[in-house]
Amino acid sequence: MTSQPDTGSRILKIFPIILIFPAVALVVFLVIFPLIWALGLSFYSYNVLRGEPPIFVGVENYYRLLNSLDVWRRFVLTGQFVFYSVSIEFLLGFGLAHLFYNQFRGRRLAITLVTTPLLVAPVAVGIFHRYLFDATFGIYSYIAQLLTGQSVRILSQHPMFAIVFMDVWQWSPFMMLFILAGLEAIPKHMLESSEIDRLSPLAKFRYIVWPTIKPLVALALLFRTMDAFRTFDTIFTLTGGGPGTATEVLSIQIYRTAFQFFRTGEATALAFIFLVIILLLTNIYLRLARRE
Amino acid sequence: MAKVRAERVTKVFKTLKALDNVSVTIDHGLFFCLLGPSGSGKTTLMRIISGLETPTSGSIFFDDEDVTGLSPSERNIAMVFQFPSIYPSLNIYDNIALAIRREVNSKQEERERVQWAASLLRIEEHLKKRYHEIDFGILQRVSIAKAIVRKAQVYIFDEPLSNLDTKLRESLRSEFQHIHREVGGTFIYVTHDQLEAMAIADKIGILRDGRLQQVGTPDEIYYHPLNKFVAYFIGSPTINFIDTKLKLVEDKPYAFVGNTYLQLDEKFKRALQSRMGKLENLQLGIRPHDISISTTPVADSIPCNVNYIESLGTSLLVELVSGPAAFKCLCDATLNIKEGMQVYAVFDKEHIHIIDPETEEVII
Ligand SMILES: Nc1ncnc2c1ncn2[C@@H]1O[C@H](COP(=O)(O)OP(=O)(O)O)[C@@H](O)[C@H]1O
Ligand SMILES: [Mg+2]
Repeated sequence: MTSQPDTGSRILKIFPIILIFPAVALVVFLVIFPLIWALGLSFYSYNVLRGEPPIFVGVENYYRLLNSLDVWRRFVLTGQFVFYSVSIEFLLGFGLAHLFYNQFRGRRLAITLVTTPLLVAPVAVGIFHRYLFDATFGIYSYIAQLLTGQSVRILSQHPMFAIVFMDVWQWSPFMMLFILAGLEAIPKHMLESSEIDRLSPLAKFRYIVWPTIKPLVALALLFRTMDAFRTFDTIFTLTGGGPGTATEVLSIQIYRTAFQFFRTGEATALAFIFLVIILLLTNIYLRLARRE
Repeated sequence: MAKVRAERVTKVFKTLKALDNVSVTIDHGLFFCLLGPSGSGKTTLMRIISGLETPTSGSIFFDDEDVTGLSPSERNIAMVFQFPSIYPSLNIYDNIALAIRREVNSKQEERERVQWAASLLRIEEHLKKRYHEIDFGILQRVSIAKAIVRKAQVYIFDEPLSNLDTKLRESLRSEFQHIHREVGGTFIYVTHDQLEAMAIADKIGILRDGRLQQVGTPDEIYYHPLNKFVAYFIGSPTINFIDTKLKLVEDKPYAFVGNTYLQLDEKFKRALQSRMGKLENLQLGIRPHDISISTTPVADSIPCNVNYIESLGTSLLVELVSGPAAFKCLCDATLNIKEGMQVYAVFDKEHIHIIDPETEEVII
């Protein structure tokens, strides 16, 4: 008889654990376990195709990768892609946000139209940009020809321009939404009071607009930088990393190492270096954002 | 500083008429209070005077110059909003200094004027602090300092104290007249609190549903309200309205109150004659201060019963009932009365108003 309430309370304690068990198990088996497995694998020389048992090589994979000029070139390439894309997206998003901050007829419809690129699947974005950039039929090539007076094969002559353009096309609206949200959070009476205080437009921006939108801008930049850094599908479908390795960003290199050259161990090591870079970037941003 | 004149200003928001044909002149150097319940259009009128809003029709003049088409910065206005408007990235000193950036010629002058404003508002100790380091009451002082540091045509304060707690409000309210004397400009002060307006204004304008009801000194408004709304809105405790009818007996005016006829002053006679015999269905207005209670019968008094007594500290607010009429009276706490007692109310005839409840006009 006396044990009855005891059993009851024990069940009450166990019950929540039972409830969250499936979710935890899923995370452990699908995320954490493969991650650790991959970390282990990055210390081996291993080729999935040959099926031979992996040979332990220690930090050899890392050593080789970090000393390879090729890999450094990919880093620089990826960095350039991220830098150009995110900066242009920021500027464009900033301009668009200020445009849409004003009220005008058809504003809602215009915002919907401008943000549709966000909804398009990356593979589709890559494929139809391939048509747009097509040297013979592509509308962009046609425009480029009108502007420069000579036929331009953008994908082969300016591949970096093409992938940055595509990323900007898809992700500028994302920046715009964040900055617009920031602009709309500015208290109206602050703007009016700055008008009464006779501040110049520049001072208005500096003392009212910027302090309000800054945290949102930081967040948008963080998201975009991380995301641009690991862009894969759009670039892969547009250029496949080419011509040559002209647009082979890190993610594509990892893919190629793993699934074209089947150097599985090396690919995992590269993936981990990649992960560390993203973690570092995130940390820097978060620290900057928190300091404000 | 300037004389401010609004001429037949009307403002319509979609279907709502926020201001209806408002005309008012505010002489330069005056401390003018715009008083009215919330939603009466006070903020709208201030925004039109400052240029943040354009009137649907009508014009604004500063010293006979039509400024209706000018922007707020061209009008050179200083304004304090209901909420503190402080730039969060600057400290308090820089916030105040930013407001006069266009006016000063040297750092020295800037420093002197900021110091002057800060000492007037008693915020010198906070000058080096940031927005989030000081509390709301101080922030509103900073907003006021930001305004009065300017050399503006007119200084507008839109309910600057309404978000402060009572203590802070009272201390700041009592400083306002001093601030006005020191600054010496035209002040327009908006409030919904009649006590505040009565305490600090040179002149008061009363707004109701977008229409200006009356403009006058606090005394004029208190003793000679033009209509029932003004009489009701000003004064605390609220004025009594008692249903009454009038008649002339042997050429003397009488008002029927409760179940007694009360003789009125001679001056009422003329006013009543102008009514051309329409002497029924009127109301008599009298403030609780102007009724006294006697426990023994006296001449010209109204016998009543004490309905209930509310103590206000040093005074009592007593509700008296006489026949169908009920009214409140303010009397000394030392008066020895109890609920249910029979007493005699004596009206101060100087301060009786007769009101036509249909037009709401105060006849006299
Ligand atoms: N921008 C606006 N759009 C629509 N209606 C408004 C606007 N501003 C004020 N009003 C309306 O006008 C009336 C007067 O408002 P307001 O001037 O703010 O009154 P107060 O300051 O006396 O409280 C209110 O009924 C309010 O709802
Ligand atoms: Mg208001």
